Amino acid sequence: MDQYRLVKECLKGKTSAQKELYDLFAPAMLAICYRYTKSVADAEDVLQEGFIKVFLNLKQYKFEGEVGGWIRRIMVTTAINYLKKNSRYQSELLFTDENLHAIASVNPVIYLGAKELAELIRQLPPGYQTIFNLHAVEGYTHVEIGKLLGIQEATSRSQYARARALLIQWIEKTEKTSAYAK
Amino acid sequence: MQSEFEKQVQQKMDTLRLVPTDPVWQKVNDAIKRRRDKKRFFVFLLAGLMISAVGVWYLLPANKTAVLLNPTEKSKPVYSAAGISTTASSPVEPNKPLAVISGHKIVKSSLLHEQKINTGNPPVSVVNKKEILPDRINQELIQEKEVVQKHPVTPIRNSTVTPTQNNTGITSIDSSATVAKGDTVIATVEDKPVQVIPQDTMAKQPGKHATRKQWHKVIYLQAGSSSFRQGLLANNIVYSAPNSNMSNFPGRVYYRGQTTPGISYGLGAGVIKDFSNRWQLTLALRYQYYSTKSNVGNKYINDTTVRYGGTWIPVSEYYTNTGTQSYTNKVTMAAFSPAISYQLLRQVPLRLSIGAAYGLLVHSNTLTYDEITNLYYYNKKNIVKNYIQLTSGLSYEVGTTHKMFFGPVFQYTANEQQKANVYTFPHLYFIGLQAGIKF
Repeated sequence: MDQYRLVKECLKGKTSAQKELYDLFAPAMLAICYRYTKSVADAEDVLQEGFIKVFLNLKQYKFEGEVGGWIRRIMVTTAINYLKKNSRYQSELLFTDENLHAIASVNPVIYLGAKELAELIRQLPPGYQTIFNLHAVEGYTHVEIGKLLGIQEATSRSQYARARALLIQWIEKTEKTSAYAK
Repeated sequence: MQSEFEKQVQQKMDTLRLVPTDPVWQKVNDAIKRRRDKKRFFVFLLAGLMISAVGVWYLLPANKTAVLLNPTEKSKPVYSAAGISTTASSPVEPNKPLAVISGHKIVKSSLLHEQKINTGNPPVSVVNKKEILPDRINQELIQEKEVVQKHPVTPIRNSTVTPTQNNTGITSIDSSATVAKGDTVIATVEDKPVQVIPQDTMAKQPGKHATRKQWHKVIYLQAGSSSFRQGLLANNIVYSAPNSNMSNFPGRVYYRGQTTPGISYGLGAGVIKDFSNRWQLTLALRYQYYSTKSNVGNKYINDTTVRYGGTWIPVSEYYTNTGTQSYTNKVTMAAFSPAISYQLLRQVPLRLSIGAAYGLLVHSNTLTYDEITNLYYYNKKNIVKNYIQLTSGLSYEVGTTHKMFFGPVFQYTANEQQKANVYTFPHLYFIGLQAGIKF
């Protein structure tokens, strides 16, 4: 069933259509939630909350653009709110306006698989992890990230630069110790 | 602008897929269903309230008295037969009532337009055009004593109307007549003589007695909360040894989790028979939804065995008893519900009803709790199909021909819902509000 028809069936309250929509997008959305959290259980909690919001607010979907993109935005917002509410993450979501040394931008080739890369991203401190996910993966600008997280644009830039540098270090280290290095 | 590194990260993350575990969808589905059930409950409640509100607005008579006032001397309203100069082309037949006022409006009138009465004083005209025009001409209303009793004409102050009787017992009024409370004032419409017909006379008029309708139809909505009368229960005890030696078990050691109330709503339709002014018999068919919530644990789709009816039976799906999840037990029932009601006070339409209903189960997803294995599972054979319910309620009625009623209602299921495990599975009951219409 094409996606728009599927959404219309979901709006009629058909459980089978809702299950089909869930099955279609849950794996990709769980991967997104996985990148924002520190455990599979937390990722599933975010996924659950996110899909509840999707089905309860499906009437607001205007059939413009991919439904997957709409669901993804809800999932990212749910993940951010989850991190803010969850006491495990609150203390680590510190966005300090530190003056970092300018780091030369490098663009290494990434040989790691998606799962390994995601694991490295998840190892970043929560603040860095969130900003990196929002900018590098979701494509939010630093202005948008600032509004979303309640921080200055400059703080977002500096935190992102630090996260990027750390991640590149870890990628290179992982690749050297694995069979992916050339 | 993103660099090559960001593009690579994005491409790789877009290909990542992880499969969620089964309970995630179950929780999402349950949450959606809970929201939907809540919506339905409020729709039913709103519908009931709207029916009641429309009925009250439509049927309640206004508490105003129709008064023919001299516009210049409002303190001295005059009904006058004498001294009226008639300009109508067809004089009114003597003793023929032209219009009857009950409460605030003329309920019967042979002349349907406002006219002026010339009493020789400044002309008297009807105060409110709208009130004088009858909405509905109803023979029964005129002749029922009760109607007149309920909506007595307020005595007109300082009136000087003196009734005089003619040989038919009809009283006509001249300028010195006094209108007494309880009398039905017959007003004229434009230059016709005014007559007062005492209510007794009206009631005796041959061929015009109202007959009480014996049978009425009724439909009603109920909405409220349902739950179980709690039997034995305790805090959830985590089952820590699922493979322990069952043959040596000392007896019941585990207890089911707590059950909390859920929403309930129903729709009924039937007939009501009036035995007298105060006694009624109602025979209705009711379709009702009940729900309660149980604290269960995670759901597992695995084969296991549970204890039921003294033997071990296989089940392929069960819930643990850790109290971490909420499960909604749903019961749908069709019931035949006879009840007797009695109007408690003569002047106040407040009724007390009691009855006993026979209910037939239409559907239930209620889980059975096994206290030996400390698991919940669905067992259709364990669910009772036939129920006896005790019902009671209070209702306040408004209206005359079509009566609206609303009030609290209570149902109690006399037998348990499940055959086995009766010590831990009590009786279903419902408390809520009811609104309906009798016509």
